[in-house]
Amino acid sequence: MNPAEETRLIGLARGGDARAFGQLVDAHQAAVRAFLRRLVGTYADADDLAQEAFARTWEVLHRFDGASSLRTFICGVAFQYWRRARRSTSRRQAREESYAELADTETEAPAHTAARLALRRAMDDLPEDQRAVLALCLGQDFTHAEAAEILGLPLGTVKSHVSRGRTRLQEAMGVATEKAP
Amino acid sequence: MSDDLELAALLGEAPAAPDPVFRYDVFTNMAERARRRHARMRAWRIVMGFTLIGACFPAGQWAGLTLSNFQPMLAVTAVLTAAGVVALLTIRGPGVVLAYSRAILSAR
Repeated sequence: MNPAEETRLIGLARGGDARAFGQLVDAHQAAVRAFLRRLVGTYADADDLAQEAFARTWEVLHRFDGASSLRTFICGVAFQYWRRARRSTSRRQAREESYAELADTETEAPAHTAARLALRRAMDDLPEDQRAVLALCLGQDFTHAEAAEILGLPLGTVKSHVSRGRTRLQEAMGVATEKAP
Repeated sequence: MSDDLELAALLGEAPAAPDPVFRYDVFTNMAERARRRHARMRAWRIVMGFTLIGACFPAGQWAGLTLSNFQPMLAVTAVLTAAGVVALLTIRGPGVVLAYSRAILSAR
């Protein structure tokens, strides 16, 4: 979607046009859902959070000033929701149970499942911010600058989180890590 | 396996195409949030309304007015309310009165 079209749709959505907002949801759902899926681990929980984030965005769209992209704005909302959900003990327990059942529900080859579980364990061990940075930047959906804006972190911190986090994940996968130049 | 994209794909993949079911779920979520917000506002208005009515009595007492001073006003209010209810019953039927009362009191 080109920026002019997006600006037009945002204007319509601010005026209460749900159809225009639906088009914005379609345009940005892939990036937001991918971010949350990498962050949360279970697709169902991630998609629930993504829905909450989009619904909240509809309510606070008047606060969007256009200084950043709408995608960045929505991911910022999604990140806040994830942090809130993570603090809830019951949600965490449910997630861990879903995680334990992951091996039974996956239909892919066992080798991939093992890799997925190892990565998920490594992700779960990372600090919140580092985890979120990796979820945003690893898939190359977001630049470091965008991640810094979404998470409210300095750019240097984001870069260092990516570098260290990648190393931790590679170690979890049993891959020899590359030395920094 | 060290490639960032492969790591990202293992952690979680983006949906291949915009999912209309997801959009529908977002709209459902929006509607539910709006319904809850309206219910909260309605409950708040009811609580404030009845609190103000209740506050009139201690305020009156504080101003030196006793129940006997209020009696004529209360009698007029009761008569007017009864007349209103009877008028509604006569003009639009009992269902409307019940629905109206329910709309005032319910905080769905």
